[in-house]
Amino acid sequence: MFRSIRDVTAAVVLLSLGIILLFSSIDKSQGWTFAGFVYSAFKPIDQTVTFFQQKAGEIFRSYFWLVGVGEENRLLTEEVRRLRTEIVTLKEKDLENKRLKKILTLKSKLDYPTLVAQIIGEDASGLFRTVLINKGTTDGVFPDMAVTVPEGIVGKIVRSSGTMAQVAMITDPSMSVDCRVERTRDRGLLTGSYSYSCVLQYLNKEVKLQKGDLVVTSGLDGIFPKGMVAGTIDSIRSSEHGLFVEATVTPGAKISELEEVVVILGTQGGFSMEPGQERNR
Amino acid sequence: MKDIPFFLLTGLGCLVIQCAILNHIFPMELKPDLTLLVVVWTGLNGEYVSGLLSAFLLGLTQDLLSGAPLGLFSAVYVATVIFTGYVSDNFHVEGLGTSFAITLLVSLVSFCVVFTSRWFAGHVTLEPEIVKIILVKTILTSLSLIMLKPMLDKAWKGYSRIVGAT
Repeated sequence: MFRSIRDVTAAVVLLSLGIILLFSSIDKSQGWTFAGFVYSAFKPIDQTVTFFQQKAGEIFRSYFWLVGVGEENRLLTEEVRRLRTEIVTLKEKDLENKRLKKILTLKSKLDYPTLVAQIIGEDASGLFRTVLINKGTTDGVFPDMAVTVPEGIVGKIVRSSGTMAQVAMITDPSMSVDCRVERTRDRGLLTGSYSYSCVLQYLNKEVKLQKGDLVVTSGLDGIFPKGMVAGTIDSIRSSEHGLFVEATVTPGAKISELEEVVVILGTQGGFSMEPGQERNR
Repeated sequence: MKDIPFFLLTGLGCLVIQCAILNHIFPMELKPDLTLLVVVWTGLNGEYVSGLLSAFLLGLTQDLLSGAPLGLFSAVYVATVIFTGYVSDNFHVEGLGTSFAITLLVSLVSFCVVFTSRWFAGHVTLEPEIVKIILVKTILTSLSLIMLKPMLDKAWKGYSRIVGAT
């Protein structure tokens, strides 16, 4: 079927326009050309389209870029978290290393067989000042053995089972340790107290104590070896009955911060070592 | 007897929370005795003999995990169930307020018994600090009931539906 004249005319005009534009764009040396005119006429439209194209491109690019950043951010956050955990673990290991080094120094200083134990629990009721350690009778740990750390004495074993034992701290009111004031050599009984950390009782009234005086074990109670640090004198006051003087003592060992302790596997009455436990020395 | 595992499990759960978590929140002596709360709840809601048996076992565990002489908490907890069982049989105990009042009384008496036993043993002298510990611990323990009781009630409902315990 033949097309109408209008259709043919339109086809011819547009085709010619195309060809003219094509040829005019090849020869750039020409000044004002038809192509130039077309370009000028379409410039606003072209600019608008370009503007939207650019914006769309930016949005797409930034969107995909953000997706990547999000993923990267997640990975980096994970990495930071992992590294932080690693730092904390390393710091913990460093601190543990330092503590164990101190404990090793103490072990080498002591003339008695010792055993390092970890604190695994605190008193369940809260009314007694005791802790649980991870060594028991199978390791040669028995009641009445002294427990200490490099900073000072901690307490004594009160109960012992196969793989764990209970330590009564020197701050528990049931604990009594025979002690001396290092400087004056005066003897007293160091007991735990709910009101104060520890109290050095039954000191002679004539005693000339000073704040900061070191209190050491006398070795006469049959549990703690002689000369171990118990704490330092904090304050001095007359006892309730007025016959003696008593002093508040701050324990050398930071009782609430302990993590590892040294158990002295023996008492002055003789080592209570079970056969086969020599390897623990 | 089907209720014993529930009482024991909740009691042990509370003991673990008491040992592992509350230590970090409250000072050592003042932390609430959650196990005592379970025992009180058991006495008020559970079957009498099961309550007594659970209280004894929980007390024994508490004795082993604390510096208490073996049998101290067992006896205190059993006495608690005897008292709360009596109250439950003779009075209408339903609301939180009544449970709170009973817990307050039981906690006060229990802690006094613990300290009195230590005083008899010559371990402690009666000092103001002890009165403070008893009072604050009693209040904190009783206040903990407000949180714990609804949880125990809900858990008990679920448990009895599954196991058929009453």
